[in-house]
Amino acid sequence: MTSRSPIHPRTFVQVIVAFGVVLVTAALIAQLRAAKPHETPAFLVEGAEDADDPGAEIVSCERTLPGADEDASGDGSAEPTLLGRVTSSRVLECPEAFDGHLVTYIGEVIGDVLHRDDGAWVLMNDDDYALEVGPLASHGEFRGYNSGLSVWLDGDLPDLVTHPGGPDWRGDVLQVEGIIHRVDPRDGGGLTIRATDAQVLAEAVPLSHPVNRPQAIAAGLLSAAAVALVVFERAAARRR
Amino acid sequence: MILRPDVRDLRVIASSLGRVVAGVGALMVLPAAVAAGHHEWDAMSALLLSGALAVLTGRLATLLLPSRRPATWTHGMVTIGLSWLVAPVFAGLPLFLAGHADGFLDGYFEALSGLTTTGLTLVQDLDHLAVSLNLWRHLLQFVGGQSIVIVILTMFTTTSGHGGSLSLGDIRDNRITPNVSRTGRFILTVAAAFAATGVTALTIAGIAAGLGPGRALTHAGALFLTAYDTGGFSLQSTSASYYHSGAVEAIVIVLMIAGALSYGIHFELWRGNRRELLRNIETRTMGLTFLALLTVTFVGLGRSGAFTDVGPMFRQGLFTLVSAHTTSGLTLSDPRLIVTDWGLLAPAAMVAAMSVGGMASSSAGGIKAIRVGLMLKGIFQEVRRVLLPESAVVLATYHQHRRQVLRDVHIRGAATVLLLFLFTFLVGGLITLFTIPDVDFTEALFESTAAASNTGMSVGILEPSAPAVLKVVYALQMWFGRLEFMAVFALLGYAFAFVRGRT
Repeated sequence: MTSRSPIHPRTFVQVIVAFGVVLVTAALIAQLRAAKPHETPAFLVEGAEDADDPGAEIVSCERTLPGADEDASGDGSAEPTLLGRVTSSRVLECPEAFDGHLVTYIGEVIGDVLHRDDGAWVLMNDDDYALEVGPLASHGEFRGYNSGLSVWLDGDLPDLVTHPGGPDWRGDVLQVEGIIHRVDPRDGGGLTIRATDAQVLAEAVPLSHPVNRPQAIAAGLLSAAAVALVVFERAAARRR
Repeated sequence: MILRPDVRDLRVIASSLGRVVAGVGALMVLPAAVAAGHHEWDAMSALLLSGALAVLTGRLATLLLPSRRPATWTHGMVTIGLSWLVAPVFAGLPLFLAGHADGFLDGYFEALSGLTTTGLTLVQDLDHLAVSLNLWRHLLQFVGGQSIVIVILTMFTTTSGHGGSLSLGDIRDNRITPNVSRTGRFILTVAAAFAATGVTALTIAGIAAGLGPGRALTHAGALFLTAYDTGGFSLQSTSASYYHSGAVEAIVIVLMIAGALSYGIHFELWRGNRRELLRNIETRTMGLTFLALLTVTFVGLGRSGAFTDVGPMFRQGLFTLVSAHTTSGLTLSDPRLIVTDWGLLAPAAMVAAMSVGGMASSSAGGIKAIRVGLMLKGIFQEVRRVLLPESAVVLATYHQHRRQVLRDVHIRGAATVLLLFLFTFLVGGLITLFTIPDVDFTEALFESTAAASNTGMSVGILEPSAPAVLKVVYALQMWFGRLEFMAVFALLGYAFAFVRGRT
C-alpha cells in the first residue's frame, strides 16, 4: 500500500452489478428449492400419533411417579407393573423419575440392527418424522430434530425388524414394552430400554425420491459452464 | 497513520478468496460421486449445482480481478478471516437445496459449524439424510480442520511484527518445516497415516458391533473425519452412543487425542523423539488439566446419584471429558442428560475442559493448552518473585521442542486471548439467556462455551426453531473461536481503514 489511488466510480458500478447478480442467483436458488416435488405416502402410525395430546396419557415427570418396583423377595419373581406410555423427550427431561419402571414405548427403528449374542441394539425414534409425517425428504415439512432412545431387543425380538429407517426407508415402527435403565451397566452407562416384548405397529415403507427436474437441469448447465471455464483457463495459460 | 486500501489491495484479496471458494466447489465432486453410487439424484444435483456455482464464482473472481501484486501478511489475514465466512455460503447450499436445512441461515450455519470443526447442527431429520450429504458435512470438518492447522503454522506464526501479543509467533512450533507446501505435505501424511489405521480399526470394531461391512466402512470414515478433526458431527442423531461398543469408543478416544495434539508434537514423535511428549509444556498442561477435571467429573458423577457402579461412570465420564477437552463434541449419551442428570460438578468440569481445549497447531479449539500453561507458569513466577529476596532474578522457562525463557510478552499474549475467550463465552451466555425463555445460566454458559470453543456439545438450547439472532451469535462465536480473534481483528481493522484511512 505504498501509492494510494482512489477507488474509481466504475468500481462502485461493478460492485452494484455484482450485488445484483448475487440477488438474482439467490432468488433462482430459492425457486429451485421450492420446485422440489414431494410424494407423501401415509406415514401416520395408528395409535402413536397423539404424543402431545393429554388424552394419549403419555407419562411425564410432572406427574408424581411411584417408586420403581422393588423385588421384595429378592429372587426375581416379582412382576413389575406397567407405568404407561413414555416418549423419549419426556424420559430425557427427568431420567431419574423413570429409572427402573416398566413402560411402553413406540418408535421407528433407525439405521442398523446391531445384533449381539442374545439380542440386538436398535435406535428407536419417536419424533414427528417417525410417527406422524414421515421422513422430511418426502414432504418438506420441518418438525425439528430427531429424538429417540436406545432399545435392547431381547432374544428373537430383532427378527420383527424387516427394514430400519434411513435415507431410502421409513423403518418399521415398533411398540415395545420394557424397563428403563437410567444408567445401563450393560451398555456402559447409557440410558436404555430393555424390551422384553414388542409388536410391529407399522411396517417399513420405501421412500420414493422424485427428481427435482429444474434443479437437475440447472446443475447440468452450471457444471458444464464450470468445466468449460476451467478448460478455457488451462488452454489460455498454456498459450501464454 | 492508517492508509486506506485501494482497488489493487481488494483485487489481491478477491483473487485469493476466489481460489478458496473454487477449491470448496471442486471438493463437492467427491460427495456427488457418492450420491451417484447411492442413486441419490437430488442430492447429486444439489451438490453439483452448488459446486459449479462455487467454481464459477471463484474462478471468475480470479479472472476478472487479476492481481500480480504479491500478497502481504495483512492481505493473508483478511483473506483467512473472510474465507471462513464466505466458503460456508457455497458449502451450505447443498443442505439448503436438499431441504434438510430450514432456510439459508441454517444451511450456512451447518457449513460454518463443519468448517470451524464445531459440530453444532441445525440439520433436521438427520437420521433420514442422504448418505452423500451426510458425508459432505463430515468432509467439511476435515477441510476446515486441516486448513486451520496450515493457517496457524504459516500465517499466525509468521508475525514479522504484525501479530502483536495475540499471535502465536513467539511460541511457534519451530521444528515444523518453515516451507508452506512441505508443512502441508507433512500434515496430510500424518492425517493419511491416522486415516488408514483409524478407518481400518473402526471398520473392524463396527463389524464386531453388528454393522454390515459396507455400513461399517461408511461409519468408520465418518467417525475418523469427525474424531481426528475434533469436529463433532455424526451420521446418526445419537452420536457415538449409536454403536454400543467399547471398542469403537476406545478407538475414537485415541483419534480425538491425536487430533488435539499439536503437529509439532506429531513431528517429534514422527522423528522418534518420544521424550518431547513428556517434557512439552502443552502435553504437560493438557495432562494436568485433564487429570484434575477427570477427578472433578468422577466426584460430580458420584454425587449426582445417577451412577452406582464405577464401570459405567468411568466409561461415560472418561469419553465425555476427552471429547470436551479435545473440543470434539462426540457424546456417549444424549447431551441433555449432562445438565438434567449429571448434577452440577460434572457439567462444570465439561465447561472448563471445553474452555481450555486442545493444543495450538491442531484442529482443536478453545483457549489452547499453551496459553493456559504459560499463564500458570507466569503465576508461579510471580509467587516465587514474592517469596524470594528483592535482589533475586526470577527466571521461568518452559519446554517446547527446546528450553525457552518465559517472557512478559508471552504472558501478556496468553492473558489477552484468555480474557477474550472468557468474554466471548460470557456474552454468548447472556445473549442466550435473553433470547431463550426458561433457560438457566448454567445451561446458557454451557451452550455458549460449546460454540465459542468449537466443541459443539449442545445441551439442546440451539435448535432449528431458535431465534435467528441466537444462530447468528453462535455463528460469530464459532468464527471468533476458530480464528482465535487475530484474523477477525485484522479484518475489522481493514474495514476500519477502508472507511477512515487516508489515501
